[in-house]
Amino acid sequence: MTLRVPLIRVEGKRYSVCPHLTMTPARFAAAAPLECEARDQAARQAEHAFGFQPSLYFFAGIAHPDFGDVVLAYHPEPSTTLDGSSTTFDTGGMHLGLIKGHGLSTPADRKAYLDEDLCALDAWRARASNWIEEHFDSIDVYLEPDGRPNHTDPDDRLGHAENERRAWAVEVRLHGDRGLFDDLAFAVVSQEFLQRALEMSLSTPTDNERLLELLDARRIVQVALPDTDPCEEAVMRIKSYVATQGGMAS
Amino acid sequence: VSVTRVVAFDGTPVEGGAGMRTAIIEREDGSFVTTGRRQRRLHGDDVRRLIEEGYVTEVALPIDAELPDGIVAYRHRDFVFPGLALYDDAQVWRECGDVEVTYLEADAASSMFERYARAAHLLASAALAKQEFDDANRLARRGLMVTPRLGSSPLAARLYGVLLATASVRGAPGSIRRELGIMLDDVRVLEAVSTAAAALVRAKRTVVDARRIDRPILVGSPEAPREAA
Repeated sequence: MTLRVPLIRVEGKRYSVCPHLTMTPARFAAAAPLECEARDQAARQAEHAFGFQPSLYFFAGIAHPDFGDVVLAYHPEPSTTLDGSSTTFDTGGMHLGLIKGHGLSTPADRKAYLDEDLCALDAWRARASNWIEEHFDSIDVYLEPDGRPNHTDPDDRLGHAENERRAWAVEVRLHGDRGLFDDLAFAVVSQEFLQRALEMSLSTPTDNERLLELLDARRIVQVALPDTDPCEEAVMRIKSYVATQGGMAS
Repeated sequence: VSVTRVVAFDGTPVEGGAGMRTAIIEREDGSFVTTGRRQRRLHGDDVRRLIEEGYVTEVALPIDAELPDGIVAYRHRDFVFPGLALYDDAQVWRECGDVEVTYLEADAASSMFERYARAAHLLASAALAKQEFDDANRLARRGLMVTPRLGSSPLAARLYGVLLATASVRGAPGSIRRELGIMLDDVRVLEAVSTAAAALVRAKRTVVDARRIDRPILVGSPEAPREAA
């Protein structure tokens, strides 16, 4: 069975190497595209070390890193002609040496390990489904922010005591910019972010209409005060997505 | 002396906004932990990287954290109006770049923001009565940013009522009408509509202020303000 796990991207950071905040209410209202340019230094270095093109980064089903204002969840079958690839770990963390395991101590070791794990974009769902089934008690365990594999592997990546979520989160990379709301399953934003976006959209009727359409279809969801964490809200919605429409291959 | 202190908070503030965010606390032993339901331990290296890479916002001057599990409330310096500071003697706020921040219990932050939303509603209503529609819209939106439990809140209904009234005066209420239908539950939608209707009736009753008429009018003439009124 091939799972339908949404592709998650957490936005709203001010990267030191990016000229602007990656997602603002104004950009959200105007449906500004997701840009490869909006990636952190670790991702840039990892691309250089591993021979990747500049990419957009997603985690399958995981709203991680926990920090961000805007959680974007996309349907798992990207309707795009963009090239891409997938691994069963965070490549930025791998490059930085944050992911521990046997044979991961040097850059050359890590490159060899990555090459072994690498999977083409069009095969990512089948590969991820098998990998999750093999290493986790259930899909729900995988989707938990603190979910852990049920056994280690020969390299001890999945069992190493110092490793955390980034060591066992399926990463999907798209090589190019793409539309913010293309294939969007849902977005989770803070209350003030949404109000600001709505306010700014009023000057452009098409932007306002699009936001209202997405809100009406519950494809944009706000985290209403006193709740504070879009990532936390996203976990419940990701699980619900997988439970209601994620089980079967399309 | 080593104390537990708030050193950063989740994400980046919304320009012109205010809200509540998960705090990152440095404990006495040098470890870091996030507040909220998903309390996570973080390594010092992680926190530095998250700050440097822009995932979290560093608090310029760390705040002593007597509460083990509070939240960071922030308000942008342009939250009310650009260049207009918001004075609140009930809470100590710290400067932090473009925003002010404070650390408190989630319930206390919620109550504080509800007060802000009530004040915003009063100001928005006053602006609407004076036909200062841009100000009325801005103030109502600021109130909606910080109204707790927005979907079922009578206060949110009144704030949306202001937005609906200004949009109606401008001849384009459709968008706001649709928005409040999505954002509020059915009872609050009715309240918002009746708030707007009441505001519009009040606006029509407003007597013309003779001092603001830009053309001379002879006292006693049919155009004189008192007679017109």
